[in-house]
Parts: sequence; structure tokens; C-alpha cells
Amino acid sequence: MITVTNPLFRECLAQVSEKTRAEFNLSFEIADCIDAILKKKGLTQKELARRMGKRESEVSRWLTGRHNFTTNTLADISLALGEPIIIVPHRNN
Amino acid sequence: MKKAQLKTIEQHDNVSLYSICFDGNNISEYEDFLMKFKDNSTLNQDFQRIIIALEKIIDRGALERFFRIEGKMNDRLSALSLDSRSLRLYCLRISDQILILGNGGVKTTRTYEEDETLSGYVMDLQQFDELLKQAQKNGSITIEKNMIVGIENKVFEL
Repeated sequence: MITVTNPLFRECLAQVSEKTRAEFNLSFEIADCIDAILKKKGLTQKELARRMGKRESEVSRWLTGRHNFTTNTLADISLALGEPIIIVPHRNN
Repeated sequence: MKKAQLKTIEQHDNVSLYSICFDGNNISEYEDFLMKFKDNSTLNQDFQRIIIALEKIIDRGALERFFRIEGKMNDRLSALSLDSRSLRLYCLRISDQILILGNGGVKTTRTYEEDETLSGYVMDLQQFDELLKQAQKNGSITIEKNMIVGIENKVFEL
């Protein structure tokens, strides 16, 4: 397979700030995690929306990987899925 | 009638990205989008998020969930956008492995149809989608995994 890259696109990617990239990666990983749990449990986006009293379009926005989640939403999703989607490491002093 | 060719933007194991290049233009529609917004300080963060999304797509595939469905039931029009933000990039999601990138801009109206520029970009993609389906049907192009074969000298008339 021959790999083709576009110089202008690569130039734009190189200019992405570390902060934007870190924020994006976090949103993307959360979306991946929700998607994986849905698949593992055989749940649809519609079912998750129903459990949370949300519209299906809202769940679909979360799964794009570009949603800015609030801790409130994350807690609601975890409860609806019955599994944690974020684990914060404990620190002892 | 506009003449256009398909240009390969990026080609990788998982995904290939293409864009439409109109006759007489030096750059493709996607490259025009990049040129328009890469130095825009107001929309910089939104622009950067859209292009990182494309980087992830290259890595993971053009999965349906990464896109916002736009257009009509029988076309493959999608958009890369951010929640409640106005910048969007229109594209045709042909499969998990093939994505055709169009142009995009700032949506300030309720629907893209109300914006002459954006609806122009969308219509170009919708027409292109139809031509692509016809070309596939008559065998002048074929889709093989992550590649559209037969586009090198193929001219589409929109």
C-alpha cells in the first residue's frame, strides 16, 4: 500500500495546539468508551437515550468524539450504562 | 456545466480521503477549505478540532458515528461539525474506508439551504455523489476496499 499525504493538511495538523489536541483526545476516548460499552451490552443509541430521557440525536452527538462533556452528563451516562466511563486515579497525599 | 476530477488527498491502510477539484482550480475543494480557515483566529479552535477529527478518521476509519448526517435519504452527504458551533466541513461518506471531502464554512442560518454558499457546496457534493454512483454502475470506476480505482483521467461533468 502506497501512503499518500497532503502537505497542506499536514501543515494545518502541525499547527494544532497541545491544549486543543489534549481536549479532543479526551472527548474522543470517552466517546470510544461509551460506544464500546453499548456494543458489549448489545444496546442501541436509542436505548441509551430512552434510559436517560434524552433525544437520540443527543447520544449521537456524544459519539462523534467532539462533544464537550460535563461531569454531570458523564455521571448520568455511567448510571444509564451501569459501568464507569471515567476512572480518576486515587492519590494518597 | 462544471467539470471536475477526484483528487487523492491522503491514502492510508484504513482510509483514503479524496476531494473534488473543479476544472480551472489549482486546489481541491477541501484544500480551499483549509486555506480559508487555517489562519482565521476567531474560528481557529473549531477548525483545529475538525482537522484532528480527520486525523482520527485516518487512524480509525470513517465510522458513521463520527459524522452528522445531512442531505437527503438517498445521498451520502455528511458533515464534520462541533456541537453548537457554526463551522462545518461537508463530505460524502462512501464507506468506512472512503471519504470524499468537500468544502465548508460557517453556518449562520438555521439550515444550510438558506445559505447560498453552503447550499452550493452541498449541491456540488450531492451531484457528485450521483455521478459517482453512475460511474460505478457503468464500470468506469470501481471501489476496492479503501481505493476508488479509475479516477486518474476521469472527468465528471456536474
